[in-house]
Amino acid sequence: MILLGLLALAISPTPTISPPSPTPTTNDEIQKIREVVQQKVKEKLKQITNPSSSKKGIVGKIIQIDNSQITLESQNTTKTISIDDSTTYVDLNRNKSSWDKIKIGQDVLALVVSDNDDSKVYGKRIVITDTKSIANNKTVVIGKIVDISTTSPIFTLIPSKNKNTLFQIKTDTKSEIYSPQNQKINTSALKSGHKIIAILTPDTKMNKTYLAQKIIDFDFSPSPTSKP
Amino acid sequence: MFKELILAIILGGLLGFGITGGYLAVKKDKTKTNPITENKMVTVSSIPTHQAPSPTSFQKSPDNEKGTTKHQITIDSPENESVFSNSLITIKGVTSAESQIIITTPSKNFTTMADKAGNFSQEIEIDSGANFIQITSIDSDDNQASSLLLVTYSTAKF
Repeated sequence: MILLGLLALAISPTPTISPPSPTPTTNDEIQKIREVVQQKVKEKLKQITNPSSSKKGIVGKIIQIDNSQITLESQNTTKTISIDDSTTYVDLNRNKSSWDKIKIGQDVLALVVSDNDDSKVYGKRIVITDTKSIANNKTVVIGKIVDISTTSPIFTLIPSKNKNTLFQIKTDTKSEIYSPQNQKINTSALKSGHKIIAILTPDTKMNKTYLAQKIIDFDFSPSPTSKP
Repeated sequence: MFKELILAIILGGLLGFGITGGYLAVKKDKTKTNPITENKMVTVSSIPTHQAPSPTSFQKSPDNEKGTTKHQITIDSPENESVFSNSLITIKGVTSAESQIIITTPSKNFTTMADKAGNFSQEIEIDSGANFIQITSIDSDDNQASSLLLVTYSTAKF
């Protein structure tokens, strides 16, 4: 009862003068302005953080040449690039080249500008490229060392997820061996039974052998004999 | 004066309940959301083949042996075929929690770890021209997932 009375008193009209409150229309306008400003800020931030959003670098093999366009086979897709008088050409030796030097079968890096919806791609700079020099032929493998040669810097690794395969891995002075704590360790710390991650490249001198670029030895345990 | 006081108490109570209710509702919505699967750009679990002396292929990420979830890696940035005018770029992505991340460029190697949410970020140095970057994630069960990215470092104006 008392509460009801208090409530009635509270909601009855009061003679006090309250400050003018903003109308709903004004609030809506402020909200709209806020949203517009937020949108503009987002667009500007996107432009600043990703200024080359419409610029792309496409690597591929030329499979077709027309009067004003070339078609590339790139990463299992075909891409048609429009060419005009402003397009520049660079040969394998990084010298200026020309449209008439562009042939089917050449590997190129095409620096292009595309429409926002990617509907048209304009070639700005066509660089003839040797794809072998830019290929990433590294292999990453995790597994256990099963055998270490006592006569040569070679060990054998069985991958954790493919026990039927052997990797013959060679280390050299450029091979970097690390503990899980990122401490550089000596090649001699590698032992049979150790679990490792290895970054490998095919050894061009020895068939069926990989060269270790970097190894992380998960079973490394510091001992007085191991050299950091 | 008394009326204002009562009114303030009632309004304060209503406001308090409103804020508490709103907070709990937002918290409930967040728990329903899976941060790993939302708003990600590209998921690639295989990379183009390259010549290797061994017959074994490691391009495909093997399924988890327990048959629960497939180990994957998603690269958030940069976009494939991006062009940079700086040789230092940052690779950001998402994978399984606390996975080992190995990033290789044609000339350099970088390693890092994903955090408990599976997020990773690593600054790398790329060479002049086109660079094929391989990003490999290895989870605690030794499952591998890889993604290949093409980025170009060029100072040419175009």
